[in-house]
Amino acid sequence: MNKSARRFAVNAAGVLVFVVSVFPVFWMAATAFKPNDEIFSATPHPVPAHPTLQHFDLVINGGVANVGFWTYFANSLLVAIATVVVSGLLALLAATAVARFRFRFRTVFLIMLLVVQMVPAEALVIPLFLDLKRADLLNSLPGLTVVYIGFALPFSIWLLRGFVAAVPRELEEASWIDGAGPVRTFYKVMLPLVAPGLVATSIFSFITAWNEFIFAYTFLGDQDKYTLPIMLQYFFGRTGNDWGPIMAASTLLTLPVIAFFLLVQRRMVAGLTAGAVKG
Amino acid sequence: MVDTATAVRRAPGRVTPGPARPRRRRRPAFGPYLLILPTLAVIGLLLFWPMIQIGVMSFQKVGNRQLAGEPAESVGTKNFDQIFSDPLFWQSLRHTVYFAAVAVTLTLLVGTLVGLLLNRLGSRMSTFVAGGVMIAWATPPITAAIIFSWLFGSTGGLVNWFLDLLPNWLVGGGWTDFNWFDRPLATYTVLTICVVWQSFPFVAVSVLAGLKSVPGELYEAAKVDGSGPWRTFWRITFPLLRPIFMVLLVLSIIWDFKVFTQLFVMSGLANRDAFNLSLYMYSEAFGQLNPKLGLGSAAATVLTLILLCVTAVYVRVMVRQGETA
Amino acid sequence: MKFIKMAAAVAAITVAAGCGGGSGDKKASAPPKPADPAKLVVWQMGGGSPEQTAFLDTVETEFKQKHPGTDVQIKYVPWPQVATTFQKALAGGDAPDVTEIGNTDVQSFIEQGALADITDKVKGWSEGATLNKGALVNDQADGKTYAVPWYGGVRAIWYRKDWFSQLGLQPPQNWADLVTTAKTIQDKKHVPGIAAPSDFTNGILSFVWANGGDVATKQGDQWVGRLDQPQAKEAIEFYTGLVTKDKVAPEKYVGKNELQGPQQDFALGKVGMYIDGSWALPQLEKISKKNKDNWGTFPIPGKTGGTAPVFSGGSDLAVWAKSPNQDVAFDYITVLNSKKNAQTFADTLKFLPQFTDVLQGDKYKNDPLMGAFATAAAGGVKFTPTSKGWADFEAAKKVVPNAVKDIIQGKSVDDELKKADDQANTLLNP
Repeated sequence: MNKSARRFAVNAAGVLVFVVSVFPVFWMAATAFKPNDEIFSATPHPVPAHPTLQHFDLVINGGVANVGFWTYFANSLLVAIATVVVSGLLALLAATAVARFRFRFRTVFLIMLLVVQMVPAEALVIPLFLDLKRADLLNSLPGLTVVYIGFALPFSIWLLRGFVAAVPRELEEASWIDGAGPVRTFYKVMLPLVAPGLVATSIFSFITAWNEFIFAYTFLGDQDKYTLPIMLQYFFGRTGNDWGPIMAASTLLTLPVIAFFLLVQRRMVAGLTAGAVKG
Repeated sequence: MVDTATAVRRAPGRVTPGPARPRRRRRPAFGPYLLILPTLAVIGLLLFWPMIQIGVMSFQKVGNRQLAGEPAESVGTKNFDQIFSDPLFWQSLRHTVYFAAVAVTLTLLVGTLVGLLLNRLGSRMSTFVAGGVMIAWATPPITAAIIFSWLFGSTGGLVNWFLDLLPNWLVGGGWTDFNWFDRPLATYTVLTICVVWQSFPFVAVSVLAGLKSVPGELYEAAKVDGSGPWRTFWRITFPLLRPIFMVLLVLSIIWDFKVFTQLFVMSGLANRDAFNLSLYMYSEAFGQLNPKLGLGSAAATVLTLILLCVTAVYVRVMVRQGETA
Repeated sequence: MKFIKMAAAVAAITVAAGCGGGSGDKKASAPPKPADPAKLVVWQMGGGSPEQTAFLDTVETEFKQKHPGTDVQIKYVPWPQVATTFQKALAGGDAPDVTEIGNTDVQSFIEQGALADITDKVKGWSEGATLNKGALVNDQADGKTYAVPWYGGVRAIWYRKDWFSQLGLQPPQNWADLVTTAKTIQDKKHVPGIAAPSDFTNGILSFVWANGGDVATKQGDQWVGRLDQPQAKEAIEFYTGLVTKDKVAPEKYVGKNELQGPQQDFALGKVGMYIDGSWALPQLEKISKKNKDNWGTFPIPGKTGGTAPVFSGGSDLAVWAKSPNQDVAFDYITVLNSKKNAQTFADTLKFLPQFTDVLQGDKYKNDPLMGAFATAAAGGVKFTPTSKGWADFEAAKKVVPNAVKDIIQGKSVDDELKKADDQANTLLNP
């Protein structure tokens, strides 16, 4: 295969991956714009024949459960961003510890990180609920954020650990030899090189916090503290489900994650080039 | 030439956390403990402690009255006896294991291939495709489950419509009203597609990030060596990214063992023959007003122990590494 | 809003502490009685449409004439989260003063000690005298009343009036008729004749009851599974036979409920008949308004004629046992569930209020769609066993749906019903 044919094949594969990834979401968004009778039409319409904004209007302006969409949205955003920042920071510290140091309880610590992820969340809801109640952290967004940090952390550490370990030790040692202190070494050598890993973990924690439903619902009591995924639940009824609004709300729920990804992806590239210069 | 080969072969040693080297600078002994302290506090309080509570509750009878303050009554191993003597539990367990085996394999395979592909694409195309892939990941599980139930729905479902268009000698006829959710095998086919679709992006992005941190010279060297893509992958990429692959493997196993929302939406409680462990646990313990938390905790403990066994191999490797350090 | 509530809370505390400031000017003239609480927490199930919010606002206004110092705080609980929400309340989390409860859950709530005994309060409530007796039984245990019916409805078979007249069909009067009718529609209209979903406990039970059978009966203080008795077995064989023997119901609804296919297909004219309540109308209209004028209902027929005793679905209202404001809470119920308000609210949902005199009144006599439902509701509604374990049997374990599914898929009727009875014997006697 010559070079241009190979290039074509690679790009074609890229387009295929894109289409497969996006199609179900496209279907969701297209459904959100369809009037109700089109949603269940016997012959599937890929593109809405009579696009409508009624479902979006209901979701955003409909006063679902007597709370405005933007209240849910702001709560979600706040919780997700706080989770990303705090868990990213803590995870980086801990990942550095396990990837760079040998210490007595290192193995125990690592096994614990793994084990805590194995318990199904449905089982953890009740004990956590009781614990939070005792700590007087129920019904507060910071309380919820702390729980999300807890859930994002073990995973983030596991992931980051691989990235920190992959940073050539020589670079770090060179920096030590240059007389740089731990903080400076960390900042100048480690951080740029693990930046892609940090991006991957931050996307993960963002999605974890952003999409999470059951803890949010269980721990929050006041309706004006609810997050977006709870709103989605309101459209599932006893006498029928409102598929149009469900799809519209899901579309709105997915958008910020994509935006967040596009935002950090540029950072990821910047981090990589910085790393290359150092390397 | 000889030098390059050595460099390549030596490469894995660099990334595997190896034994401490004599060259290393002296660092404060409490350093690592300080670094993990915040994590320990958060995880210990929010995950480990509740987990222990679950372990304790699995030997107790815990319902609303106990939660409201009455002392929990110890029942010995009764909860476990009840689970183990239930044929539905064993059937759910089989489904869980088979599903995890297939879904994890496919997730890692597809994810790695896409990761490699993203690395090969030009930067603009790569951003474009990665953006698309991310969308799959970002979709809330409940929404993904609904979308896939529709795509595979009986009337007006895109998949049945499409299969019906295909010639009969290829796929058979009568697809229009095919019910994908009344038999376990069909249900799990859809579930696998849905779960793999949602989880391959994470593998792809992690592999891509890993690939970006591999020094380019190694590949240049392999190229000079005349190594083909297959060989290059197994000789350079895989050993270098082994820590990342191990993490992805273990995490995928853990996640796919616990799949709940998607199956709940697709076939739910009315199709007991398609239960997995999570659904079994939910139906037995949490689905009613007065939860049987003891029973649910016992099931959760069993699930945790199984996962521990599955990942024990990995833990052993890790422990050995820790011991040789 | 928040500040107003906070201010109100502060004011209430002041009043309660006996510092009686200027805030209670209206109360000063009232006879001495316990001070009104600053707020009353009311839980409503479902999505809280703007219409519902507006309705509850008018209820609050009316309620405030009696209790000017009390703010009503409404919390909407999404239907899929009902069990979680109440588990949490019982475990000591936020709890309501007044709550709506799905009527199949009431007995489980009573068993959990969640609801206050309101026997005397109901007796002293003048409008309460004509509450639907059949529905009230479901709210009682050991001679005490713990809830009052709020709105309800019954299931019937939805059909297409235009198709029936084109094909010269009459609403079927018995089971054999039902099959022939379905077959005719299937042959002439090329759509499945009727939908027989398997995840449909309440619909399936209508057939069992129509044949004189039952899920379980109480013997002494024990519930005993009765699905293997000839009447119940015959009914279940008939229902599953719609799919397997008569082939008038498609396999595509196996493992699903009436909302996962049948409802949409009926609205779009892709299935001849399906079973649902009057409350389906708003949903059907949401899906497609095209055939709206041609939709009709007929009662589920008995095997050889007559109508099946129908199950009443709906919601009840109760006072939370731990509520410190039980008198005020019940006052709120009497406003929310006054004949006038209950009627208004039920109308918007296409449910029926639960007062016998209202059901038998002129309003429903002349209503072509709701009339049949009202007659059925005022007559013989039947409830599922008033066992404390019913919610577990029905919602968590889905015993009947799973048995019916297995039978449709070829398992032995006798074995499956035997197993279902075994489960009933355990689950219904917690």
